[in-house]
Amino acid sequence: MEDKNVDREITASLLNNTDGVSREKEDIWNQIETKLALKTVEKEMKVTPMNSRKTPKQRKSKGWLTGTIAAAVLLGVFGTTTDTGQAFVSNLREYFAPEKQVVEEIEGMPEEKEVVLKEGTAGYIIYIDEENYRMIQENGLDKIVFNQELDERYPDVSMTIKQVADKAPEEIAAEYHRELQETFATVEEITKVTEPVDGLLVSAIDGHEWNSLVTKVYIVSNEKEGSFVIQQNYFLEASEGHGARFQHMLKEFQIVEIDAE
Amino acid sequence: MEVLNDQEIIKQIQNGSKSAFRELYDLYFDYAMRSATVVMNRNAAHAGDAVQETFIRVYQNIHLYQSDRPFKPWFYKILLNECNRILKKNSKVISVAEIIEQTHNDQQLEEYEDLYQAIQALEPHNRTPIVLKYLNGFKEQEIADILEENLNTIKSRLFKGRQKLKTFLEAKEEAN
Repeated sequence: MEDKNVDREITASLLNNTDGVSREKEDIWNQIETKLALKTVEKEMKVTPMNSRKTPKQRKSKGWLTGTIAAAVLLGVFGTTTDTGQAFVSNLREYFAPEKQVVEEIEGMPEEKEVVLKEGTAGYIIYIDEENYRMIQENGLDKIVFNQELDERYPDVSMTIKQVADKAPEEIAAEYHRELQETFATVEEITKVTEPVDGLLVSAIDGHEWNSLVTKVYIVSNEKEGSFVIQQNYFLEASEGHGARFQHMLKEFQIVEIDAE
Repeated sequence: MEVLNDQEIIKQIQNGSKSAFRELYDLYFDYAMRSATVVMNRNAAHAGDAVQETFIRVYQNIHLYQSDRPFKPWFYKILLNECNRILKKNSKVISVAEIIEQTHNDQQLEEYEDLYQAIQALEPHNRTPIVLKYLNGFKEQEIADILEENLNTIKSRLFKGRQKLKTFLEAKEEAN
């Protein structure tokens, strides 16, 4: 067979056998529009990115982001500086990569994995290791839970995140400290931390067995009158597994406040 | 002239034009879908996801595009990365039916029912350059740039892929 005929046959075969694959064109366009928030009136908006050392790599703005009814104010909650610059964006995914590769050290071994952007209902974003965890809503709270069903021998493994609009971190930390003392054998003093978040920590442990309950409560200012409360629950033997993974995920926590224009 | 057209559209997108982005979508969607469908082979159901994510990334990263270079290779580089990312994500899940199909595809080329199946049966590293050349009309050097491979490697992969398809066509011709 002549070469030019082979070439023609290959091209014809590729074209003929992929006819009809474009049926989803308008559905896909609608998805793209929604994700990029293109359905809004276009207007010029000046974007001032947050200067936060823990912020996921942000996309350089060209100043042509489209506006939405709600503008997001991104507040960096990490680092020693309290940069309160504001960024008005039409869609969080304009600013944060939907997925990224990270290297975590788990039980002494480096693990490379893909983490996925999640927008919490309480006004924040976080990157989740979806290979091991998923985010659910329970009793009005965002809860990051282990993907596998654990049998009854294992205590709760989860990380819940909520916002308390009207209480300062110090007040909430004192409340948790008091409450945990009623149920946990050992409750550490309230400590100020800068890792994985900048805030207060109340930690407690209920014994020294493999399955003894461990809880860590991080309280972060919401940059106004309130606080974010992040509670990690796991068991002693899982400190370097689940405990370490929760810490890695929490490093990516970032407050996002939605203001109506 | 198509490159100029692309450049004009890109410039308008960079200036915030939604209608220009839609124009780009109309220009590129069909062949992007065709390409993703062939490249993703048995994961073709996810071709739409790859194309959708590609356009989102193009829109979000349009400021990174260097206007002194042709747009089309840049677009296809993003598309293939998305295809690979989704394939990698789904690589842990393989059904029994797929294993049977894989076994069937590994058998002699003469057993294929038509040329498209022969193309689908090529190794991914042979199939993707074939798609870029015959469906998208890229030159060998452009394919090497898109796939970030050495030009000779691409030449070799195209040659091997094409040889297999030629053998298949000749066998089919003889049989008829």
